[in-house]
Amino acid sequence: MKRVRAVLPFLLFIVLMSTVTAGCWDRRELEERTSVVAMSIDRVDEKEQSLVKISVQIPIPIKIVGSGGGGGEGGKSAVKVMSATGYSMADAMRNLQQRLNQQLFYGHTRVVAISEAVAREDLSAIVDSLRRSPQMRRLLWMVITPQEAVKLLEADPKLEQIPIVYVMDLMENGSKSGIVPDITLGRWFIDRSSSGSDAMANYIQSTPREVKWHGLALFNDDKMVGHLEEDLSWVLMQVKNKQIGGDVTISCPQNASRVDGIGAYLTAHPKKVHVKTTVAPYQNTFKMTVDVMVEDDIVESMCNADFSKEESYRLVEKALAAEMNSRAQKMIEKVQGEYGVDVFGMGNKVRANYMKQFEQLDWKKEFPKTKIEVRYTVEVRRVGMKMQ
Amino acid sequence: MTSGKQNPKRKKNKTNSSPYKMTVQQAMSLNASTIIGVGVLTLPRSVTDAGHQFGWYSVLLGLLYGVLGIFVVVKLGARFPGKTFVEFSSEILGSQKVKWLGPVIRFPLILIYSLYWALVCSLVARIFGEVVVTAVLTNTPLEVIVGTMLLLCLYLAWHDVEVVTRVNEVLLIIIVIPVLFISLSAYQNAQMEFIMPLVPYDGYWFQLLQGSLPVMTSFLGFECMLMFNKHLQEDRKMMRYQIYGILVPGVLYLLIVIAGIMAFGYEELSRQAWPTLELIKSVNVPGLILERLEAVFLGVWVAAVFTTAGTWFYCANWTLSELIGRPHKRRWITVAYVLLIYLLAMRLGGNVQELFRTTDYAGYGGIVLAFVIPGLLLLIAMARKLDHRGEKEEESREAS
Repeated sequence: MKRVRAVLPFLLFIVLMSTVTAGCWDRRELEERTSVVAMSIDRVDEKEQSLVKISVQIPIPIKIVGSGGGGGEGGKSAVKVMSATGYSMADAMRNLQQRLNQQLFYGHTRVVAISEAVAREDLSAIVDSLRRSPQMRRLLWMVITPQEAVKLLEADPKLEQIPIVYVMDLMENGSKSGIVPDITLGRWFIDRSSSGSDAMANYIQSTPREVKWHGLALFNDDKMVGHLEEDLSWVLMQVKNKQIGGDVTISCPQNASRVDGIGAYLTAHPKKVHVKTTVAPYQNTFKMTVDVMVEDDIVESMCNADFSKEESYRLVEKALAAEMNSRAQKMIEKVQGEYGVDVFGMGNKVRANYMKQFEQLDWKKEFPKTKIEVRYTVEVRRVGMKMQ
Repeated sequence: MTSGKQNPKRKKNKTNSSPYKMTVQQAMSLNASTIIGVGVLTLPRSVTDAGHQFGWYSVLLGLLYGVLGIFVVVKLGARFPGKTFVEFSSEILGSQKVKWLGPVIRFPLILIYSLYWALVCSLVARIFGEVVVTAVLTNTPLEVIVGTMLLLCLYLAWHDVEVVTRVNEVLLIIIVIPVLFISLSAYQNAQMEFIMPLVPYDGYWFQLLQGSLPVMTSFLGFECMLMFNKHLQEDRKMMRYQIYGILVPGVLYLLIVIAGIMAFGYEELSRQAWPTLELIKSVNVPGLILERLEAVFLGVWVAAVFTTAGTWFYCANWTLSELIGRPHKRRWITVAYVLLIYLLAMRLGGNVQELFRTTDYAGYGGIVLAFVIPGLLLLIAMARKLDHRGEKEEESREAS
């Protein structure tokens, strides 16, 4: 018994150590795996079958400046784009894995690009795969591309070593300054799941040398149904998220042209947006009233306006409000009238306030019947460094 | 060698001085950290399944039951200071004239308790393993994760009650602070419209009552106080602190559930296997000090699981060895018991869904054992006027 006692502490030490090293079971050194930074999903016809095509962008560590070695060329040579096809996402990923020497790791994926063709068909299968995988982060950017999604991975704006970082920064900085809506994969999941709202996603256009944010893709359940241009997206962002959106350029209220034939324009930069949303029963259905108050700065003016006078402000404010109201009208007509998708999340607001009635409704059918009213008021706060 | 030298001394101490008595704060942390366990990860889903956005009312209801439960357990235990459940149950159920009656009647009852604690311990270890295998260490065999957790439990079970208490006391702080931080930072994604309206109407009250059943099982763990009663101080504040011990996990659960509802909406929650983990994944800590909070959380959570599984196994082992009447030479029984629990953990439920269902059933059994039976025993004890409060002091006074 004494001898057993002597061995016991040693045994326990080993047991304790083994708990510390449990994670080492699937230990894989950093250089032993291939990190994916971006993924794109397309659909291709191969051998008379419609298959999923997955492409991934993989950085080549040795080619990245600062990691030593022969690097420093930058640009496209720092990454490799690979594609594979399969019946499903997982099947395509497996096919891709077969061609790689190291295990693929999707934990660093920052952008998932999906082609519009796939999105218009059905996203449910893809979303299922993204949801199931523990490696996919909810904070990654999901974007829709008008052409083949792999084109976005191949696009190289030359300003970043890893091209997809450019896209990522474009979105991140844009959402910080309020020009691009902050729609991550997680946000899309939430909007998709909720019965009182429909999802939307960023729409990104690319050429081999350039990448551009080009409004929003609107979804009805898992299917993309429409596209919203930049200026209308900004209105939607102001109404929904209180984001400031982009600058607004209108023709001068005082004078239509500077010289004959050349228009006179005024550009205002929204600084702050105050939104007050109310939902109330209206006739047989509901009405959402959104009062948007925008604080603008004038950044450029070709008008005959004297900003030392109060009337000039009133005139400009009125013209800006009229422009925003007409844009809002257009946006509502498109979103509600043409596509009938509740990307406002109006249903959530109705449920929050009139839950009993909401539960008896089929919101999908009800939404096109509802009334949405957006009322803009604009206040010009500053006119920049120049007064007149 | 060291243990060989120390052990005789310890035994001497035990026989000479009075047994170890835990303070009220220790009782509170033992209670709280035993309760906080695997329930945290699935709670937001299980309450919103039935109660939709009113799910957090179920947590409040569950908290109320929990307080009621601990009240009964402490009241019952206070009547028999310095005695474990095994000892006082035979007194309640037996008779003073027929000496053998009590032990015979209590035997199946205690056996059920012991097996129940073994079962929940194995379930906790298994769920822990499932989460780790699906979310973090995807290539590590389940057996290794469950096995190491149970080895830790075995190690704890070889120690005295004092060690168990202190382990729980220390770990509670390590569990509560990060979990509190994470659940509070999840509020930055919160949307008011997901939790509105705040007051449920007609049809929902019943659903909330239904939803409070799974919450009740998340509050299980306080029934261990039946055993630890032997080492509780006789202190007026004891009841208050034991209730605090329920309130700590209660508030934590409430914060996490409300954060989950407000960040995701109940419809999104119902699609997630481990909603709390998803909640943490979508938290963006300002300043980017920590990019992936789920790693931190899972690290903390290992401690939370250990305090739950460890204490339950300790109780399972303790009841069994007291029942057999070999409290001092229980080491090899303990090893055998851990093996049994390991087998249980690996056999229970082939897939995750089955595992969840088994957990539900075990939870309902737990409700009977933690709420109903102590309540009945308390009633019998009250009816038979069995009360040993203050007796020891009198004895010691007489002796001196």
